[in-house]
Amino acid sequence: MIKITDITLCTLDNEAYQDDKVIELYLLLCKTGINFIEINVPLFERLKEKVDKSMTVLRVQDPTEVKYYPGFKKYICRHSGLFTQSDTISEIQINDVREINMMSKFSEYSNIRIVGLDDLMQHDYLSAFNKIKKLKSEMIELCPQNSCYCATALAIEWILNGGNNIAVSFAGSGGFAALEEVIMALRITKRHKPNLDLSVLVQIKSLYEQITGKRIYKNKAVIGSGIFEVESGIHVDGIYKNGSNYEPFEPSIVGMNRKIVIGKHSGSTAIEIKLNEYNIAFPQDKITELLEIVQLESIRLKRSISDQEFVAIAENFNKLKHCSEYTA
Amino acid sequence: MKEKKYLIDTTLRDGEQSPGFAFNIDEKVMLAQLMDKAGIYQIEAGVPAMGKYEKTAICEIIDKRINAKISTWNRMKKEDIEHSFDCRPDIIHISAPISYVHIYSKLKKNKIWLQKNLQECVSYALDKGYTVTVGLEDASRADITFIISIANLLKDLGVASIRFADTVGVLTPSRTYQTIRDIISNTGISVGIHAHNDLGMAVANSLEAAKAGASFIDTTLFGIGERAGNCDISQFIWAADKLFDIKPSYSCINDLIESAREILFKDN
Repeated sequence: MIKITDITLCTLDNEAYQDDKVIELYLLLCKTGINFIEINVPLFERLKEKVDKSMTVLRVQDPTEVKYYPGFKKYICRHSGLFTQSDTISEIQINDVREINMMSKFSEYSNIRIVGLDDLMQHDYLSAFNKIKKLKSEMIELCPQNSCYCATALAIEWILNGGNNIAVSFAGSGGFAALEEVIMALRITKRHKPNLDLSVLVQIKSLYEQITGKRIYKNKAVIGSGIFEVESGIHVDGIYKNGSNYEPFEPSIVGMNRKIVIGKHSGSTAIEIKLNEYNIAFPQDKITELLEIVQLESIRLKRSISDQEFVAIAENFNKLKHCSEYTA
Repeated sequence: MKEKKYLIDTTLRDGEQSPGFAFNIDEKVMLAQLMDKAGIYQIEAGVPAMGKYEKTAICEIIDKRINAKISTWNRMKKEDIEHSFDCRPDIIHISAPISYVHIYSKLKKNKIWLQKNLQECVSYALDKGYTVTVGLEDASRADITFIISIANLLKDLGVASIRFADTVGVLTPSRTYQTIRDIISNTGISVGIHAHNDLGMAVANSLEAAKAGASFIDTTLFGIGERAGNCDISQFIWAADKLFDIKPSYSCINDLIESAREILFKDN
């Protein structure tokens, strides 16, 4: 049974907790198909009755703090050697793959989260997973870190190879596997669909950007605003026939729309589509000429052509053609 | 002794296809020179069939190159390949649809058509004395048995290497490893990996392909490319530097990245 814990809120700083939007972010993250959401004590003080304790994991400084905050699904604290109750997850940092050989000592803990393993993809990760799975703990959660750009891949491989629990963060906040990438990869590779509608990701992205002041790149996997923009002739043609030719999933699943962009790499299909989109009557035998004009304009501007610019170019072309017919 | 792996940078082809990028001739040439200087093995310079402007840029890249091999990208069409002949590149790369989704649904053709056309196009370029590589488009959604049979055919024809393209970016590392292994062990042909980052796994998939025996890794500067982009060159080198002998090494890539940043993002 796959269980995903979202740790985004614990990667934010105290300043973010002062923002009212953090409450909304908590509620929206709960709608992504995750099983648990992790918060810390300062954030709990802020959210109070808004917290759904049945799906929330509370991060505490040490296991003795647990008794002051009853009712949470689970608790988590950094492993310190102190005794922990069965509802508390011991978090262990492993930065060197060789440390996995010495992990048997943690078998006495019923819940373990392993954080780190950044460079595991450079090693025999399947053998490492098998060693980890030999631990006698009831629950072993993997929380890969991303300094080698493989955290999402490790989280997915852990699940594909019999692991059940992973911890992730939205957009990889704090340097972890990205929530949106993991849920989409599980959807595609394992048909794991706890939440059919992921359009909530658009709102989460907007809130995350406002709260943190960080901008999500246009081409960020799954949530980037530009990932369904398509310009190249071959791709436009293929997508126009059927989106699945060149898209891994439908844009609507993540609350986005496909957008055909005109530019240096456009083909005549894209030109026809845009002309139809704006109801511009245009002679079929002049499409290639118009395509050449927009390609050169795109090179001159060093970017794609906006729809308004395209319409102006097409209408201008029509006007000139019309005039030349009169003057011919 | 670390195993050698070779980078094929496709910033000037697949990278530039991403909306928002449109290089002029000077920029393309400058980027190619920076990559050449950094020690990148092969530069995919563009698509000659796009027209005169693109061909001029490619020819200038070829004129000014020092060490890098320069390749051109072509659809499986003789007209495209003729445009490439005009540029006289080191390598002519022909892209062929390999998944049934692309062959039957997108193109409304069949496997016989693909085999016949591919043979004709490859032979056409080989007969002119060119080194030919073939890209298997949408290979990650294709029938592995069919891939192996086409790869064997291409090897017999004299194709230098095939490129396994995860066109829609849906591979996982373990599937990548297994598939690349299967192709190499059943054909013995040289293989390259072309990964897309739609699920955030382009670096990991490229790394696993290299571990499975792929010799060539496609990358782009800053990971630019269709949708969520391609395998980011500096991220890949960071992840793979300890395992493989790759040029440029991570310690040498900074100059390239900083100079390229000014060209790619100067208006942002």
